[in-house]
Amino acid sequence: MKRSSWHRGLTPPLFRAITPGALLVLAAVNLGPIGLVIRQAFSPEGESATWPISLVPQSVTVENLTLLWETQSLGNHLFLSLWVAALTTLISLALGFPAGWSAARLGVLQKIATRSALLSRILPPITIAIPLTAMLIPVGAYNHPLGLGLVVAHLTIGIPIAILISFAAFRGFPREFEEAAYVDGCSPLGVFWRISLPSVKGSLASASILVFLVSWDEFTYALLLQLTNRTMPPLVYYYTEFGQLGAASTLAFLMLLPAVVVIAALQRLLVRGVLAGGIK
Amino acid sequence: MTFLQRQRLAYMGITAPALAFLSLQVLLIGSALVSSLTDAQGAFTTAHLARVFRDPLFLRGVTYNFVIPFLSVAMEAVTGLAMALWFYHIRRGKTFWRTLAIVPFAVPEIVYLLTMKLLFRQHGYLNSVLVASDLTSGAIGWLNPGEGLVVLVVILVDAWRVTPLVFLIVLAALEQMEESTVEAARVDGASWAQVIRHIQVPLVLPALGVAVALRAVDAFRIFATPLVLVGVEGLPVLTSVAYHYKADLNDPAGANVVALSLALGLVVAASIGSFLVGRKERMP
Amino acid sequence: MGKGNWRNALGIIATAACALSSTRCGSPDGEITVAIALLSSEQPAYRLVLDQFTEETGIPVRLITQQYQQVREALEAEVAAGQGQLDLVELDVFMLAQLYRSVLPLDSLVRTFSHLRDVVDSNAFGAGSPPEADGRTHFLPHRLNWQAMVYDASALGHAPETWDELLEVCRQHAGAIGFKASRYEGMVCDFFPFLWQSGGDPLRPRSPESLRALRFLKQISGTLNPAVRSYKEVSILQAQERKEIVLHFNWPFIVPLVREKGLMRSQIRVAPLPAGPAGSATVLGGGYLGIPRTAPHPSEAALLVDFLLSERVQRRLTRELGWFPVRASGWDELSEEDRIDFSGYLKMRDALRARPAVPEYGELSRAWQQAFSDLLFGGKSADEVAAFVASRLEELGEGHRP
Repeated sequence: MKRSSWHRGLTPPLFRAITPGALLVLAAVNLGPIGLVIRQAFSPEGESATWPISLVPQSVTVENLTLLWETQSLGNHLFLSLWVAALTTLISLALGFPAGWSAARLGVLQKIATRSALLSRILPPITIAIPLTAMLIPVGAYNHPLGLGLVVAHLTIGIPIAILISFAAFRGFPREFEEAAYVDGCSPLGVFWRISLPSVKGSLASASILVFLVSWDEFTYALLLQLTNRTMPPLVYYYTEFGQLGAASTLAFLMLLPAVVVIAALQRLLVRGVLAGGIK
Repeated sequence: MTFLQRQRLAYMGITAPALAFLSLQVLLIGSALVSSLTDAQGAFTTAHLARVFRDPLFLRGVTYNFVIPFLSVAMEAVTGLAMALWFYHIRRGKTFWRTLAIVPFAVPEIVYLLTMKLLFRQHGYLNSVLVASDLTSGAIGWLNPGEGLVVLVVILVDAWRVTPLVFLIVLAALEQMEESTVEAARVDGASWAQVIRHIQVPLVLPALGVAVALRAVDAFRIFATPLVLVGVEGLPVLTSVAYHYKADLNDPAGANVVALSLALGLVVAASIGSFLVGRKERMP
Repeated sequence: MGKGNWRNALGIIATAACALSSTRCGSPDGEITVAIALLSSEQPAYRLVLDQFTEETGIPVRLITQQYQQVREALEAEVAAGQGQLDLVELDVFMLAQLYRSVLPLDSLVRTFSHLRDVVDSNAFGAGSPPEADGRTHFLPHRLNWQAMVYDASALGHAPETWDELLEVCRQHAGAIGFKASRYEGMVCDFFPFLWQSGGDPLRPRSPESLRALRFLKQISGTLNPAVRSYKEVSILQAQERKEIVLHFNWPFIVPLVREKGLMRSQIRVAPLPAGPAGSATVLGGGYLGIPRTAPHPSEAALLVDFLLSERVQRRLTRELGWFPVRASGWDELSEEDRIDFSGYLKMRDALRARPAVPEYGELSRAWQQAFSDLLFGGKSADEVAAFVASRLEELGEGHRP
C-alpha cells in the first residue's frame, strides 16, 4: 500500500492543520537561541549594553575571538577541554568495556556492575567533589595544569556509561563464537580482545562519542576542581557572571562546534546510545 | 583449578579496576560524612549540622529543591508525551525534525543556559522584542530574585532541556506498536481522541514511567540552571547552597552537610521509587 | 591491528602523560604565571601593561584572571601540596592576615621595598600584616579601593554629612534606605565603618563606642528597604538606578557603570560616608600582591612586583584602568571629569580603616554578619548581638582582646 506523505486517512485532520506552523515554532524555539549566541559572539561587546537590543547585529566582528585568543590564552583552555575529554574517554572505555563484557557473561557480576553504575547516577556531583578536593590537594592533582583531578571525577561518570552500553551490546552478542574460541584454547582476555570487542564496534563508537561529549560539556566538576587551569564550561560561566556576554557567547560557540558536527553525523547512533544508557 | 574457575577469576579480574574506581565514590561519601561531623581537632561535633540547619539559605534551598524538580518533571512528562504523540505522525523529513527536536538536550548545558540568559535577562532579547513591538510597556523582570516569575522561568528552562529525552523514549515505545492496531480502531469508528486515550497512551505509560523515573533523580540534582540564571541567593537549591558554602564561605564542613543532605534525600527517594515499582510489578 | 600495536600506543600515551604532568604543558621556561582578579573589561589594557614588562625584562607572563576567593583556594592547594605553578597572586585585603604563611616575605625580595614604604599610602601599606608576622611584610598593595556613599541627587538634594542628618534622611525616606545586607563580606564592609565612626572597633564589640554605633544602626533598621537582605554590589546599584532606594554604600567600580547609563550627576552622585561622633571612616579594600612559597620563579615574580608598583606603571594603571593609585603622586593622573565624579571617594582618602588583621578573620567576619543580621532583621538588641560577638571572640582566642 502506497503511503502518501502525510499519511492521509490515518492522520488526524487537526494534525494536518497545525503541524506546519507548529514545526516552524519548534524550529524557532530550538534554533533561535543558538542563533542569538552566534549573533552575540560575532558582534562587539558593547552591543549587549544597548537597550532594546536588536536581533540583528549592528556590526559583525571577530574581535571577541581575537581578544580571547590574545589576552586570555584561549588555546590553553581549548586544549585542556580536549585533553580531559580524550583521556576520560580512553580510560572509561578501557576499564568499562571489559567490565560490561564480564557482567554480560557472569551472572554474579551483572548485579554488582549495574548497581555501581546506578550509584553514580544518583549521587550528585557536588557531594563527590567536595571530599574529592580534599583528597586531590595533597597530591597536587587539584587545579592540575593537565586536569588530572578532573579526569578522575569525569571517570565516575564515564565508566558507568561505558559499562551500561557495553553490557547491553554484549548481551546481544551470542556466546557461541566465544565458546568456540575457548575450546580452541584462548584465554578470556584473548577472547574479549579478538572476538567479542570487534563485534560491537558500533557500540564502541557510540560510547566513545557519548563519553567524549559528556566530558566536554561537563560543568559542575570543572567548576569545582579547576580554578586557574580551566576548561571551557566554567569559563563560559565566568564571563556570563561578569556581564561579558560577547566573550561568553564566543566560547559557547566554540563549544558547540564539535558537538554539532558529531551529533548531526551520528544522530542515530547517539539515540541508541542515549537510550541504552539513559544518561546525559 | 578448573577451566570454569579460571574463567570466573578472569572475568572478575577484568572487572576489578572499574569497580574499584566506582567504589572510590563510597570512600568519598564516607570522608564527607566524617568531615561534616568532626571539628578542626578531629573530635565529634554537631556544630556544623546546627549551623547549616539554621541557615535560612539552606531552608529555602530545601523548599526550592522540592518544588522545582517536581514541577519540572511533571512538565517534561506532559510535554514529552504530547510531542511524541504528535511526532508519531510525521513521516516526511522524519530524521531532520527529530534531530531538531533533540537540540536543547544535545547542546552543552552551559551553552543552553547562556542562550536562555541572553533571552530572559532584564535587557535581553525577549524583553527587547516585547518592548519594541509594544506588547508590553516596560521590561519584565523574568529573572528578578524573590519573585514567583523567576521560579516559573527556571522550571520552564530546566524542563525544556530534558523534554527531548522523554520525547525520544516515548516515541520509541510508540513506534514499536503495530500500526494495524490503530488502523483497526479507526475502521471501527474510533475518534482520534479515543485512539490516543485508550490505545496509545496506555501503551507508552511504562516507557513514560521509566523516563520519568530516570529524570526525577536527575532533576533533584539541579545545579547549573538556577546558578547561571539567578545566582545562589536568588534561587537556592541544595547543590548551589553547598557550592556557595565551599566556594564563597570557605566552609567545606558546612558544604559537606548540605551535599550529604541532598544525597541522603536522593537515596531515600530512589529507594522508595524502586520499592513502589517493585510492588507494581508484583501485582497481577 | 594486532595486540602489539595497541600496547605500544598506550605505552607512548602513558609516558607522554607522565612527562607532561610534571611540567607545565606547552609553557616555555622562565615564563611566570600570575593570577589577578581583573574584571574581564580590564583584561586587554592590563595585558598590554604585562607585555611592556616582557619587553623590558624578557620575562614572558602568563595571565590568569580569577576571583579572589578562587585565587586563594588555588594558592592554599598549591602550598598544601608543596608545589605549584603560581608565581604571583593578587588577594583581597581582608584575606591577607589568614594567608601570610603561604607567601614569601617581600622585604628581602623586592628591590625597591624600602623606597615603596615611603611612597605608598601608610594606611594601605601595613594593612595585611598581622602581629604574628613579626614585622615582616608579606603583601604589597596592587590597587586600592574604598567605599563612599552613592545617593540619589534628585531625591535628596544634598547628601547627609553626619549621623544626625543620615537619621533624618532615613526617617523621611523610610523603606528606601539601602545597605548590602546579604550574608557575605560586603555586609561588614557597609557596617564596620559605623563602628569606627563612633570610635569603636570590631575587636571590642562591648565597648561603649561600639555599642553606640550598634544602637544607631538599630534606630535606622526600620527604614531599610525590605529587599536589602539579598543585595550585593551590583544588585544594590541596580535597585538605586530603578529608584527603589535613595542611598547606599559602594565601591568606585560603579562610577563607569552609572556613566554608561547616563545617570551620573543627573540622578546619582557620590559623597563621603556620613561622619559619626568620632569622625569619618570607611573600609579599605583592594588587591594585594604576594609571592607564594611554592612559586617556581620567585625572583622573577619580585621583578614584576617592582614593575607594577613603579611610579610610571602606577600612573599608567590609573590613567588607563581608572584604578585608584597606590602612590600619592598617582592622583595627578585623574582627569577633571573623574575628579568630579569620584569626589566622594577622593574626600575619604585619609579616612581609610583596615579590617582587623587577624588569622581568624573569616570566623570574625561571620560572627559580625550574624550580629548585624540579628540586629537589623532579627529583633535583637545592640547589647545582645555585642555579647554574641564577644563570646565568639573569646572562643577564637584571647589574643584578640587588647
